[in-house]
Amino acid sequence: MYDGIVAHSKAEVREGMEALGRGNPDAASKHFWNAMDCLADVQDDRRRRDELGPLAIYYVALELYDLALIGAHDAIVLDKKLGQPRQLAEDIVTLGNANMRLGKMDEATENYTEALQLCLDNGDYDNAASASTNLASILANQDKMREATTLLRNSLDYLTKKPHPNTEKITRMTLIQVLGLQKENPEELIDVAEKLLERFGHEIPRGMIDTIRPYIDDAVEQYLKANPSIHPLKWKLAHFPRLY
Amino acid sequence: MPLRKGDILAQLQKYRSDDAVILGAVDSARQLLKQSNTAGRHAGIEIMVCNFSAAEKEFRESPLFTESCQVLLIVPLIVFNEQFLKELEAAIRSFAMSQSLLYTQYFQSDAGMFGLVQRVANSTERYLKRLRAVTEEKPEDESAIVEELTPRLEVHVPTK
Repeated sequence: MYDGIVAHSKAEVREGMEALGRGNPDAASKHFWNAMDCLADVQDDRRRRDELGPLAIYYVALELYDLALIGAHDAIVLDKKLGQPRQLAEDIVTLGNANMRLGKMDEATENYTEALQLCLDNGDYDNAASASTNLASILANQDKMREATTLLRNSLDYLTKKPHPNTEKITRMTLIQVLGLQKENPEELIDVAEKLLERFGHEIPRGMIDTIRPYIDDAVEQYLKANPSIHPLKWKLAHFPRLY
Repeated sequence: MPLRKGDILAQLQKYRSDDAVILGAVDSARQLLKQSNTAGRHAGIEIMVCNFSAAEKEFRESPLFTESCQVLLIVPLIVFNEQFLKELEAAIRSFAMSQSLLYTQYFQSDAGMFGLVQRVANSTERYLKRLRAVTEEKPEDESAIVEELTPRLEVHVPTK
């Protein structure tokens, strides 16, 4: 019944992307707003939520945080009305992401904490990992490294119950940085890094590897210094063939 | 023939706004006006917000119509166009979504800023409805926004 409106919304997103590609942000913004605005006319709550939720995620990726926040908020209202805990948790994470990018750290912390609890209650371990990792990023930026480390370890634990490659990648990269800054546990950092590169090394852009490389180098040096009987080059080649 | 006080009020009454948020801010502005009335300069000045969206061409061309706001000294009355205040409110709410100017996306990209201006100007009602929904269950945020809007009304009060 609402196929026409939904198709129109998707067409507006496409036109927005094309306008961005042509270097016309003015027109792009208009299309992105239209895409969200027209969905207000979809009277079927479930259908409207199913369009708004992913659109809000997409707008976070496009750095349109105000529209993402509005979309996520509307989706959350619908999730609560429809009694959809999994979608609710996802949309709260999106709201948290938008709040975080808009500098609203207290709100984002509240969002991630709520989402994490909701996911754990419902056994949504992949979403729990996502909420936990995002929460850890905020805490790490507030220099709360120990709390951040615990949350990141928890995230990896959740991901063993329900894998989500992208969340695992982000979690491992964040954990490397958090452990690297603490310089207390080179073995754990090495293990996290080794698994990251083993599983995702082929798809992580060079620039991103460069951001974690100094922490890995430091941890490797620390480890080798503590274990002088190990042959450094052989060990490095065996454990990090992509780096050394 | 010059308009009389009673005629002016009667004509404007037809367009009186019924927007609860805007009227809430107007009430706060009235209080500020009373408090600032120490020298009696503003004695009897009233504030009225009008929704002129349905106004006929003839009225729009009359001295009573304003795109933004004006003072009608004969009454005396400050008239605000509701649309003008809603645009202000939409801008305030949009900026309030970020923690500070440092984080506001409107200064970070052309798409962000152009998009905001377009939405505020062309989809005021629909955009504002969505923005108001965001703070619906957060009374503290909501009152901060109304507080922010109130001085925008107050600064238009004539000082002499």
